[in-house]
Amino acid sequence: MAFAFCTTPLVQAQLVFERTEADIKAEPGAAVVPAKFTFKVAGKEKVTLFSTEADCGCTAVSLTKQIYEPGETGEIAVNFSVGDRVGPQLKHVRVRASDQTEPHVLTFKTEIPIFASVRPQFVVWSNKEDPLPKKVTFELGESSPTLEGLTASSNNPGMTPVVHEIVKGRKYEVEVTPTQTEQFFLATLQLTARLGGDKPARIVLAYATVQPPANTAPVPTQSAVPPRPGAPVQPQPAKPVAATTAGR
Amino acid sequence: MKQALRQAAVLLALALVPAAIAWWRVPPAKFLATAPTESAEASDAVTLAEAERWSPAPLWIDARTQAEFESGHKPGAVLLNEDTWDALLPGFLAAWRGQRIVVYCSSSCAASRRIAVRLRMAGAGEVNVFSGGWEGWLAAHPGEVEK
Repeated sequence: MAFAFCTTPLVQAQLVFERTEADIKAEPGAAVVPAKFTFKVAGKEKVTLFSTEADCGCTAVSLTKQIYEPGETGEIAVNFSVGDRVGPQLKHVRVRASDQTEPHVLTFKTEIPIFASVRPQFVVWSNKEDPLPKKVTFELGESSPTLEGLTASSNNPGMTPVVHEIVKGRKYEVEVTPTQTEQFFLATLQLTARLGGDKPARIVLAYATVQPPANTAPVPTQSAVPPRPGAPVQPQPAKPVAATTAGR
Repeated sequence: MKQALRQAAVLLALALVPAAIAWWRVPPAKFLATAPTESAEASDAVTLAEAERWSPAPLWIDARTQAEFESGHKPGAVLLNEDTWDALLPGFLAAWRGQRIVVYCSSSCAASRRIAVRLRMAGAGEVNVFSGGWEGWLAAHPGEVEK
């Protein structure tokens, strides 16, 4: 009996996946990137899918059912939530099933297109630092269409951004100068990229902050926290875009 | 009695042979040469002991999901993840005084590395990754959890 028990792992996998790696092209602006992994029960015994586990909370896995008869096919749906992610993404899903002791590992790959990069995404003045101007650079991603223009606004009157065009329609510098550096403040800079025609504007966020003295407690930011980007902007409705290397 | 023990030992040895073969064919994940999860690179990885020696103390960033953060996190840590990067960044900026930064997530996740890279690109200074992750913190400081 012990022999039979210990030889169980040697039985060939009965759950055969059509593919174990999916490289999915993400549509620009997509909130979710879906993938499907189809499988078949190739052995002579039914297979129970016990559990699925993704290595990121951003990856939702769903099964239509748990028990599959010999010869039956099934599907594991994976939905990757883009959130504010940009660039290449690699996620794994582990499927524990009754056909083998080790989990089946499914790999999900995608690349979230970079609309524009904003570097640095935040500029910081330390307490009592000279209030000299600092710059953030906005540059379109290679595949993004040339802009009609870029405008910048601040949610804090103590910091007014000024936009300089560096490369026509593709690269800009946004200069900000604080009125003082003795008290904490945080400004959200909304950079609105106008694409021209009837295309919606895209918004990218950057931040400018004056730090409080080093020995003070963290500052509540409730009033400084901007609403999620995406509120309509004039003259065209805005499309939310993740910043830093702003994607999608 | 001796004979029974001998037979049991033989049976056990016989049973171990296929088990060993199975282990060799499909070793447990921690023995795989290429684990399916990313790990912190040595260049910016930091141990808990090292980070706790730094003065001034680093700012700890929790790169897990909001739900995981809310169910318990390192005291004083600030939530910052890629689910809602832009909405969380002001909270980080309000807490940061220019000191070193240490990012953690679960020991099996790669989010801390991505957040560290992104923070550097965004303009933060020295950013390290605590490869032991949340589980490593809990093991070293059981019960020291902020909610």
